[in-house]
Amino acid sequence: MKISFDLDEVLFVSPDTFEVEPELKFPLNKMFTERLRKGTVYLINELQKRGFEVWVYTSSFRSDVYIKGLFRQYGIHFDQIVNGYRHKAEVQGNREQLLPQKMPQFYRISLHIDDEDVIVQNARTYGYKVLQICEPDPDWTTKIIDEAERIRKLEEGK
Amino acid sequence: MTEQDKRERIAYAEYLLVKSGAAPTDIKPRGQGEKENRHVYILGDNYYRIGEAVFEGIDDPYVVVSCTDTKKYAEYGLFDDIHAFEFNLSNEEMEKEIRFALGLDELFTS
Repeated sequence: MKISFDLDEVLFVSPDTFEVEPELKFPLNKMFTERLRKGTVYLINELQKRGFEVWVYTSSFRSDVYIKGLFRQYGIHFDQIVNGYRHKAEVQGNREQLLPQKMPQFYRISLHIDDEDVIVQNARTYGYKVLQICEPDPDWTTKIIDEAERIRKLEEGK
Repeated sequence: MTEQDKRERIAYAEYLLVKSGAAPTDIKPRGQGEKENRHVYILGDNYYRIGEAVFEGIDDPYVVVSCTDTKKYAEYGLFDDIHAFEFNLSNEEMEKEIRFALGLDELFTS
């Protein structure tokens, strides 16, 4: 089962308002300035240990190489990365109609984690499951794992 | 560290790329000076280049490993910096850093 994560305001957060993972050592902290929400390393590794395929689905145009490079410094390896370029090439393609910035169902992603209200609203219209994570929440990793397991049970029951 | 010392360490880092399985290419990135003796290597689908950079806060330069997964970007010299380490590492330490940068081994740095 595939789970995807948005980056900005979900995994990448401000240390001014969120607890964050330890900063990378110098000078890597200057090369990769984004800070990870505390619990990210545990969460991604735990989901993969439980057999979930974990993706990044971001509308940002950070390169695949940059995203992989940053997370590798924390020992995190995503199964796939969809950035703005890939979404534009594979999802939007040559369609005249402008599609939403994220279409998890295109990649058969069973659960997408995002902060944006519009992504949550689109889930109903386009038929994908989303869990909204935005505010600081000490239980955010548990909520995601529980929701992932709940959806997996539903899918296995089909 | 003299300029010659730095050139030798960068050359050694490039040797380690090859030792780790990367192959030299004949790509000469645009914008790279004629006298610059840096090369582009390929491993899997990724292109790598070794360089140096000085970061704000410290005067000493660092060895920087840059990468792109697009040949056209490599030709234009558009790489992302993906790893950095000190010039004065031992050969064994440098090999660990290079292998980590290539995605061959783990090396937690947080």
